Amino acid sequence: MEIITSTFFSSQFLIAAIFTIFSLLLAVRTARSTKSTKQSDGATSATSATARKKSCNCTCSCNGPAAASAAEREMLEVGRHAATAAAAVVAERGSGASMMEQLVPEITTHALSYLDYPSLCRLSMTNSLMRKAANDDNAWKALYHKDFTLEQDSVIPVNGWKAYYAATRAVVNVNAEFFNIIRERSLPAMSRFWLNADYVKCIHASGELFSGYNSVIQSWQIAFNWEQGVDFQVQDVRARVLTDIAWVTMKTYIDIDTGPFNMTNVFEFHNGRWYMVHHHSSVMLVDGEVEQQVVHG
Amino acid sequence: MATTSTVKLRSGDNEVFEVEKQVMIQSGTIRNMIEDDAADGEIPLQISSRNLAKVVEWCKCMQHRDRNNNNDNKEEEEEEEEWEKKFDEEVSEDKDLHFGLLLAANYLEIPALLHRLCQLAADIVKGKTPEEIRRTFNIKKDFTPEEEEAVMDEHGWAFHD
Repeated sequence: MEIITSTFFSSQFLIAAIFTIFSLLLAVRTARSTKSTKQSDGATSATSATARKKSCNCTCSCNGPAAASAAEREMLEVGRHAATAAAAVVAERGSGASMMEQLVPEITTHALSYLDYPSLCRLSMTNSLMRKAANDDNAWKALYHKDFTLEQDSVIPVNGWKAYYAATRAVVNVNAEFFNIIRERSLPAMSRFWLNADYVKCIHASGELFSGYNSVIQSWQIAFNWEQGVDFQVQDVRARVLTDIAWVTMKTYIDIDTGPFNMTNVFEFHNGRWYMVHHHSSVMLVDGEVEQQVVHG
Repeated sequence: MATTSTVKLRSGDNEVFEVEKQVMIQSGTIRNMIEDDAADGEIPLQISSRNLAKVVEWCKCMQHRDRNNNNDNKEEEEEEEEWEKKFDEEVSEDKDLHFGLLLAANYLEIPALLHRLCQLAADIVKGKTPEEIRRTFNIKKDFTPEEEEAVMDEHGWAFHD
């Protein structure tokens, strides 16, 4: 705490404002009762009425990353007057507030946008304040757009963007596993990968359709027996994930002689994991010409 | 119209910095004041002299770089790179400075500086375990055992690969 300037005090107040009006009012009440002992300068303690007004300012500006200007200056000014209240809040929480926690929400949100997903997760595992900050929906939406696709901008995930990011990450990983299995030509792995149901379908690039689990797995057995492991280069992976169904589209490339292909994979979620229920591969139209292909993919 | 080509910035601890307007217009806050003819007197800022000095130094370096962008002066270019590298190191090793500058860059609306500082903060966090992050930033764990378990469950997906 010894490094704290008045600017720091104000930001403590602001970060405290992230917590709902309820906790703020509670804090102000604490501040009033403890101000004589915690007070370090002559600033006046905030009344609950002004605190309500201020907390309103703060929550509004939480939305935009580092974009606040006039409003923010006002906040800093306002925050300065409420410094003692904030100091008391921190003291009361007994956390010895780290510098991370002293940043204003705009900066925190902005700084979070520079982290990758494992870092964001590890940060939110450090303590409850960081958990709140690092679970910020906008941060995860931005990360989703950066890591996966700019599409699905209009999507509103029911459980928030972090959950949607996690679900998409899981499906994208499962989808990548599909290509590992083909590369390694592992029939047991492919058998576990598909849902054992009579309605699953697989359409290979040859144009053949296989329907039902046994028939589909048999088609892969033949493909693995005849062909060498195929190392696909997979691009433009786009996954759409709903509660227990997901579909993925992608382009795959092998070499200049074979492909490229458009592929669609469909997965269903059963007993805690994703199963493939549909695979469709077709030769991509390149320069208006489709060559004869015999590769299973 | 303003008559002088400099602005005077007064730090929270009452030190006055006189800087060329051309340098300080990188700050949106100061630029607005200059445009509104409100920058003729001293501009009081709630930033410590130490942090303000660093901000001014940074702005000078950036302005110098932008001005020289068209020349192919290898020597100066290297000098600037060296300066930026030193700035990065100094900031990364001094958390008071780092966080003070973050607040200042946000307050003064200097997007490029804010970007640089956020990137440095992110670099510090990257690759660290939650415990290491706590140690680095002096974050106190305040989870109850139940919360801790929930937090672990919540993030299992991120570390499976």
